[in-house]
Amino acid sequence: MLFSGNVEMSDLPPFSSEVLSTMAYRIAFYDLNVGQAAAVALIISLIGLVATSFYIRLQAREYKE
Amino acid sequence: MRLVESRATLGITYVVLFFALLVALFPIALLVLNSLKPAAQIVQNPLSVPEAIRWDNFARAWRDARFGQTFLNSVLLTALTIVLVCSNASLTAYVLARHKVKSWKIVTFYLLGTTTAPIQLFLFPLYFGFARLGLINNVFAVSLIYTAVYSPFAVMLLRTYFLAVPRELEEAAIVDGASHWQVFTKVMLPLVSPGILTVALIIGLFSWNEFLIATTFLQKADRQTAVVSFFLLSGQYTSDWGEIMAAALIIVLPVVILFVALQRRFIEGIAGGSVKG
Repeated sequence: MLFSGNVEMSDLPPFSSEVLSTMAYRIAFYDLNVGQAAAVALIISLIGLVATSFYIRLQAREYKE
Repeated sequence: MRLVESRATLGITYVVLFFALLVALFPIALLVLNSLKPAAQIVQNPLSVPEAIRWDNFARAWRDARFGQTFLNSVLLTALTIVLVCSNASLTAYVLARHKVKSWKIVTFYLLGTTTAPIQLFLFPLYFGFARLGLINNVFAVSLIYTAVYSPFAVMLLRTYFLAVPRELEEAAIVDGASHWQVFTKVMLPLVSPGILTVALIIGLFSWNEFLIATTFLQKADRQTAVVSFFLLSGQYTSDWGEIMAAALIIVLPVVILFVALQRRFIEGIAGGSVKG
């Protein structure tokens, strides 16, 4: 879409190259389905929470030493 | 002081640094080069040297992206955010660094949690709440969002600066009869001013470049920020790359000038030699 002309638009279904955050944005502001968008956002933050918990556990171990 | 390094280590260091410099400067050089070429020539070969220098790219970029208006919005938004974040974060960081707040662990965890929370989590409720309150297209309201988003990071950064200030200075001021407020404004703030400058620069850069919140909350043409109006230059099917490169250069320029101007103060040490021994 950005490099007009050169890139072949393959026969992938629409939105198949989307990531979670753009999907949430599209659902909220194009489909105006805020509830579903909020659900996607919650899943994103759960993934973030898992990563954060690992980080905090590592940090706590360093403090103890 | 001289660090003893072997000639080979120095040589390797310079080679690595040279490549790092190349990686850092090449895109910028490309940007400058291509902002002076007509669009057709860029599509043909982005690396070629311009045959005839096209200054009109800049004039068209300024007009088409409505930078006269959107730059004002961006400057207002950035300045408001810097003032709000610095005043808010310096006060919070001082309390967290100096006073034994019983629940400081909870507060720190809360601040860390808010920095890791993804923006989408509160973007949608915030948007529809703001819409209900009629705060869409309001630059002041958006600067409040930026303040809320960037403050935790600023507090964490400033807290280390406050921790580095020797406690004796504070005690001396209290012995001389200064109130807590005077200790903060007359003693602490001047000492951590390099830290506050650092925070102001980083937050300024963040809010100058911010796109998602700006494009969501500032939709009206005369309220858009510079980055959003720059983004709108590229069409879905055709894009005038010369014009876009020129517009990107116009947006980048104030930031680069600011950083170069403040570079010396940016790396200045804090409270150097204020306490002996």
